[in-house]
Amino acid sequence: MGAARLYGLRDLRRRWRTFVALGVVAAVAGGLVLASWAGARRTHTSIDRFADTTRFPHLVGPIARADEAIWDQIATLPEIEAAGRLTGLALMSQNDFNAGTFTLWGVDVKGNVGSVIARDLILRGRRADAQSPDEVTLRESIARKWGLDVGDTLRLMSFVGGTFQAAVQTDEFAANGPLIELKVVGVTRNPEDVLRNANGVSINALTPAFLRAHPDIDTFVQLAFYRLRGGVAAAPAFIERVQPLTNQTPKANPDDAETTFEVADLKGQIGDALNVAENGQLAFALIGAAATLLTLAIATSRLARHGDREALSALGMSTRAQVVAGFVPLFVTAAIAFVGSMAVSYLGSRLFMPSLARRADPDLGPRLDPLVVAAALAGAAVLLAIGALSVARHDRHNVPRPAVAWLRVGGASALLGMSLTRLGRSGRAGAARGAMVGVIVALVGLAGGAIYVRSLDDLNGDRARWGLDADFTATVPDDFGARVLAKPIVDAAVTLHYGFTFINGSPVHTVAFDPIVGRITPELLQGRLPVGADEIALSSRFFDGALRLGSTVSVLDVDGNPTDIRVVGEAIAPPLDGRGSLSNGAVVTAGAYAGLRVDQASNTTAVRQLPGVGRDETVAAIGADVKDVFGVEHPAAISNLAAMRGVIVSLIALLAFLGLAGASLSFVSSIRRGRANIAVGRAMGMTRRAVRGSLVAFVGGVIAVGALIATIVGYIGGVQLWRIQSESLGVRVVTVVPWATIVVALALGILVAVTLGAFIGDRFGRARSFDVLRAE
Amino acid sequence: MTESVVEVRNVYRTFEQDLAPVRALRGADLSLRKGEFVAVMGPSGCGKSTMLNILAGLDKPDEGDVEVAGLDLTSLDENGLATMRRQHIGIVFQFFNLLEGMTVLENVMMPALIVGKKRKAAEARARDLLDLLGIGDKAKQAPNALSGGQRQRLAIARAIANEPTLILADEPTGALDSEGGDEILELFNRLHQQGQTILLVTHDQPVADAAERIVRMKDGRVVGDDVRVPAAASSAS
Repeated sequence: MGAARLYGLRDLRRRWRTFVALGVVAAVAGGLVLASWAGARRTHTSIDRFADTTRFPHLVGPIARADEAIWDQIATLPEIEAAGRLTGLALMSQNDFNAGTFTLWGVDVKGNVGSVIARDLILRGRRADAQSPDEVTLRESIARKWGLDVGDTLRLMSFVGGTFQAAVQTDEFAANGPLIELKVVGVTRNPEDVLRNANGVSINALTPAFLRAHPDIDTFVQLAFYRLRGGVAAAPAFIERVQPLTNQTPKANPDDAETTFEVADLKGQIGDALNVAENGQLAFALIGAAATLLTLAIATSRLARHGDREALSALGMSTRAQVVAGFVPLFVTAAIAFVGSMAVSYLGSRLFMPSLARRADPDLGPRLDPLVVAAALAGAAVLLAIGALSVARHDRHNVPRPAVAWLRVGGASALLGMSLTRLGRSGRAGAARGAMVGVIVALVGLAGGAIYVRSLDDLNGDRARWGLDADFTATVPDDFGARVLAKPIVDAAVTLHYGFTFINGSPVHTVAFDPIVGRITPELLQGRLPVGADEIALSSRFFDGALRLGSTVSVLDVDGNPTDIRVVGEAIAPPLDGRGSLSNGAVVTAGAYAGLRVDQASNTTAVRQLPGVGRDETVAAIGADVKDVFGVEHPAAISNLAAMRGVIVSLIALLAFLGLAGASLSFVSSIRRGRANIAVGRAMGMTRRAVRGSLVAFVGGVIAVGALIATIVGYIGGVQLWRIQSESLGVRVVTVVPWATIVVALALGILVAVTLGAFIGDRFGRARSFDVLRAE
Repeated sequence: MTESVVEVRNVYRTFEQDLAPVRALRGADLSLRKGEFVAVMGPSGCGKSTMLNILAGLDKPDEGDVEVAGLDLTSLDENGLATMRRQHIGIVFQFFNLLEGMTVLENVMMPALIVGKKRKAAEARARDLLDLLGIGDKAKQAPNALSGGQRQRLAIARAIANEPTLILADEPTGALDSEGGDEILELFNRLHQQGQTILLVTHDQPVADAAERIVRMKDGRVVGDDVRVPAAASSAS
């Protein structure tokens, strides 16, 4: 083995730049692929890790009975993993007062909230000391909104003597308690802060010591937080069990409503959006891995085959020893590839996470994923294996395939060009094949990526496909219906009733469209929209299993009893207020909605403006008392998918980089191998122009065939990828093929390549034939 | 008087090297008449290959006149030289220099295609030549599947495909065993007998003996010119 090692080291010294360059390319490309995969894995677990770290409560609800014995009874129920009770304090920030917003300040006298449950993530600073009455942590959304940070002072107005309830009733807040100053010791992230579109009431916990220091401040509500052993799925059963305990029994006031719970289904709200991003990352990783392996395999195979094989064999070196000799320099390449790709993945995995997952990740530092390490190791081993195989395989005398007849129409130049495509391992066209693979890799990415990105842009800009073809939602005056019917001030308007109903035991975002004027209907994917109270249209997730049109689902009615409703269509229930997802929702009639048990029920009116009329003008026409005007926002899944556009563009760039690097390497290798042919052609009387023509024929031919294959494969890949993506989103599959972009890009690519071919051809045409042939 | 094919008069050619200029030709003179079979002999570095390059129009002299088939090569541009080569020159190399990636047939078709013949005509001519040289059954094979002698026959078939005025052969038997070398020399003799003008460069006396005239070069000049009866002809007689 001494000779093998000696030859390997000599080969490494001779070609170290090439071996290192291949290692660096492998490190960058492989690192990006691994970073994408690691990012997808981090994205997949981000919500669960966030929920675990923050001890996220699955249920939140007011508790009417403050009786300690009852609370102790609730808190020790077997379904409960942790529970806490927050007492609302009559405190108000001047900022809230000015903005007309509301922030709930509360205290858990037992100190559970913020420690064993609802333990917000610390972003900066530290948690407040439970024994300190003047320390507070602020949620990042509030800190940002009010311009506060660690070390600043928060001032709160206080209400004493029972004045706060009256102030809430009259909406006239005149603080009569002391002005309280608290020191901001930390900034935290609450689950609601993770959601881009979260706009619920903000709840902030003060220390138990605060209440002891300010016992006179009014209290006005008690909120209970429950973390369940069975997770959010256990919520319906738990609600049934805990309802009689939390509610006043018997009701002191007949008007008191039943306790309503907010099912905090963080995974359900964010999960779909993250799934979309995760799918994009995985697609990036898979396609990138295939392209990287293919390109690196070709490059490694070419690099491993040195020109001394026959000489070494003649010296009696066995194939095995030659494989060992080939390993020596390739170890350097593999080591650079392994270490480099690990480093890129370690530093880059978080960059490949969508912003939603980044916000949710409780540990957003660089991270080394053991599976990714294993994959990098496997990738390096594959490189070595390919090198070994390439060395071990004997060259064979193969008969060149007859030139394709139509390529001969170009005469001698075309024939010489064609001969270059067949050079390599005795007619096996290794280099030309490598160039074609490179071209295909680059152009498949371009064609497929362009289809994906264009289709994504189309979806992003078409709100009707998200389920709500309206310009804005608003709380409208009572006589709005009469006004719009009397005078056409809007194109269409519909009242939307929405909230969570319980379908087959799970909370499902459900929307009812109650038309006012014009036509705004949910996006129907199949079947029809419900017209009766016993009909429902569901979104795509429900059709993944055995459910079909005509099947029935069990829904809890207003009394909490299960009732069967027939599925008549597949439709999108538009997410509203950041709730719900495109693939997991239900649409019912307004009549049906009234008969169902709905949690977090809300109403709003969706308005589509008249053509050419702006929002301000429309709002003004509706009346001065229109409130809460919000534009129709992109659902989280769509905005996160749109955020993945950059990843797809990166994928296109990665494939183009890999493909063009591979193609260039192979073209140069091919043309270098063919310089003897070119010199012979010159000696036979070919002009420099004819030599240029040969190179153009060679490069152009390879690229034209590669482009044809790439366009077909890219088209099929892009269309299929978008179909899968659309189906996972739950939206209608509408594929946009940007033929003009693809054709222009292909034409430009061919033009550049042909120009390059002509340039190289010109250079080779100038070379002195006899010198070249003697050098060969 | 027999028509002159090559006229080289007082040709100089110097190559710039790193350490010192190499004066490959220093006033060389040479003339060939139509139908002659001439061997150019001399030690390595005497200027044989440079002379061949210049006659093939692949290099230009620094000084002197070069005429091939009545054309003044020093006045021709690159395209003119290429046209001259395709019409008047056929080259046979020591290491064959066959076109890799093409079949045997395509290699022989190539010169005809370069001069602009139709594909069918080029193919017919190539098949005739391959049959003539005894490798017609190898038409569809790769050149590297042939023996050394067969490869050189293929190279000769390619060289004569366009019926050139002059065949330039650079050590044509240098890469062959003696049997293969004899086959090639026999082939050259046959071509010569059919009226082909041949200039063969060698440093091997037995090979040179196959020619009817031996030109000796030394230090960039022609130092001897012997017209003689070729070995093949004498053995035949």
